[in-house]
Amino acid sequence: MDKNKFVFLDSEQKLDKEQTRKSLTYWHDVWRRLKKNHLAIVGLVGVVIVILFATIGPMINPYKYNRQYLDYKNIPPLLTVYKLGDDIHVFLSEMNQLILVSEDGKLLETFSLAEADKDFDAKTYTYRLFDEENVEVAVVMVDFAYQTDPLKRVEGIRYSFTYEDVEYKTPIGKVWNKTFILGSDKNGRDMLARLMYGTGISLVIAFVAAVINFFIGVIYGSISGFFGKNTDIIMMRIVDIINSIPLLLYVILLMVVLKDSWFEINVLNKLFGTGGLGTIIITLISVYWVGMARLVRAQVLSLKEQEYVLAAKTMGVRNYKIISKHLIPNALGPIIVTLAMMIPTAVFTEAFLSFIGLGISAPRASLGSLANDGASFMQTYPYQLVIPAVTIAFMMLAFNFLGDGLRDALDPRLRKG
Amino acid sequence: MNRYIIKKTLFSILTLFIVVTLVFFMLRAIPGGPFTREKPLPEATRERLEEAYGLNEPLINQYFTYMGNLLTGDLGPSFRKPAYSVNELLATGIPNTAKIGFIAVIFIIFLGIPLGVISALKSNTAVDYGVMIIATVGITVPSFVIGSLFILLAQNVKWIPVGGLSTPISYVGPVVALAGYSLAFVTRLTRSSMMEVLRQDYIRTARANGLSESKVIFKHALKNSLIPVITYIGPMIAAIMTGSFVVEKIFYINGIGEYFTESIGNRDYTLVIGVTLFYAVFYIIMVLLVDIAYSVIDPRIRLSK
Repeated sequence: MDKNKFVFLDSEQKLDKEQTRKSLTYWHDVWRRLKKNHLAIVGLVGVVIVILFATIGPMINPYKYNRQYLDYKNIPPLLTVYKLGDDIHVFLSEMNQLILVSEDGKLLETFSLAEADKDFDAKTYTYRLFDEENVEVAVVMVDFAYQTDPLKRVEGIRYSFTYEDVEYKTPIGKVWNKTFILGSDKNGRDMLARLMYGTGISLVIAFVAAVINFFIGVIYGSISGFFGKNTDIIMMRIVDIINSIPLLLYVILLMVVLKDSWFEINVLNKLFGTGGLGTIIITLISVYWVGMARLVRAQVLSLKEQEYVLAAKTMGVRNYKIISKHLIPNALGPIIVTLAMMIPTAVFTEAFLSFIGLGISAPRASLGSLANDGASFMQTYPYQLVIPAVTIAFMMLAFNFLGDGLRDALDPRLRKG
Repeated sequence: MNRYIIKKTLFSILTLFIVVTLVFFMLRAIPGGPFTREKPLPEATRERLEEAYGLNEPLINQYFTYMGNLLTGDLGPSFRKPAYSVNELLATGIPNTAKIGFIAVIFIIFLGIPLGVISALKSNTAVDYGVMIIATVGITVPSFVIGSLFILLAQNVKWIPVGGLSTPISYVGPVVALAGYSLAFVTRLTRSSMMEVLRQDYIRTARANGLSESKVIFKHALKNSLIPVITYIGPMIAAIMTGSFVVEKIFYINGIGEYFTESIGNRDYTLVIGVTLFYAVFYIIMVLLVDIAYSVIDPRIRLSK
């Protein structure tokens, strides 16, 4: 071979370029896999949005969740505004309250309606607006006869306004409520503030329940799995018995037992405040730790046969150290997945309990109790049910996507589909 | 095999016994009794009522009396509906609950599993995405929301009755609300399990042997992919029955779920235990059946026992 065909490398290239890449830890690897999963990222973003909504939201929103604006009850987010004369915009609520609004939808003032101004024969109400010196500035007559009078009914409207002798029958359109962006509820509380607060309460319940569940489940499961024999048999029989009671039934019974009991008044209310927050958390914990305990036990049972556990035992490592340093860290993947799935389950159960009237009580609110409140007025004020319902669905979706993604990322063997 | 079933059955009876005991004492721990009203009864009346129902005896005696009666199948009289025994009340409530529950279960099995299979066979196509999107919505929207929206619809449409079970069309709402979550879950479960099975070697072998596609799917793949689905469906049937009280509340159905919520509020001890017992028995039988079905379907499990 011709020697001239070879050239010398310069010194920089001489060394075999070492293949250096930072070694990935388990968690780096998990994060890398999670990032590749678009749905999981969507879920993660959704979860962050929900958390920000519940934490930062109340700071931005000027209204408090329990502050009642009695002048503005059941005001929807979309206002049907009528323009009277040149400069007066009004909105008539479903509770027959006439409200002066600005052109862009701010609630300004309510008209007063004296008993004497209600004409039940002609079916008209005359509303009056007064300024600070109690001088009458505007008089508006609302004609409700359009709902009853056979001649007027054909027009298909519910009422008309008469202002300065001119009758107005058509609204100028729907305007977004700028004062209460999501409307107000039956006590005149801002729906947005209540939604933020309710989301927060639901999240607190879910997180606290999940974290305490984690501890109970991991301790119980690992003891049962690690020591085996009779310990395992007895502990697992207890789990089996709890498991063969329909959980929801048990939850309801427990809620009733705890309600107004000595334990609730003296312990739970001091820890979590009144309104049943602590009771729900205790109930959820006492029922749902079973799943976690079973999972941890199964993991520990298979992991304890591994050589490194044998090695640790031969070296005389104490049992609790083997469990805490060797077994649990290696079982962490499935544990975290169960934990992530526990959160939507808790939100769901809480919503369910509040919906049948056993959950959070007023003035505190959770997503479930908001939905429950809304459900009773859903014919007239559908927004009061739809808003919390959509929020629950959004939260469930976000946590489910994230949970699925975490399962795939933490343990590729469990990957589904 | 027989020994296994006997063992399981004995354990189930023990569980039931513990459930009854637990509920019995839990209920007595609730403040207030069946004869505490907002407007208090005269002391003498209350005492006589309590005497008539044996409530003045020591708790432990009451417990043994109750358990004795239970063994003969007598669930005792209802405290708040004096004309009826708990057995009679259960007999009127169970048919309604069972009807919607049964239809919901049929619906889940015969719609959920095929949808899951189709979705798995056509994975990553528009059909698959469509099914999965609907299934995800089903999992995320709570039953009481579905129910409430249905009632809203019924109030605005003339041909759907708002509550009750008077006409066939009135079953649609309760069944959809009741089945929603589980239907979605079964679909997703079937899909993922089917896809797992389709990747197995024996499916490739079956195909390589020249079996027709339908034979591969129905004879080899479907049977194996149903194992996790069956595990879920057993307890699910029981859960659907227990989960029905929200649906019954929304749709004004006189079922057993309504008795449950009502009787807890009324401190109607015997009725609460009766309903709980019904649910628990049902649940335990379902779990037992799943265990047995399991060992029939999957010989590997029998061997490991």
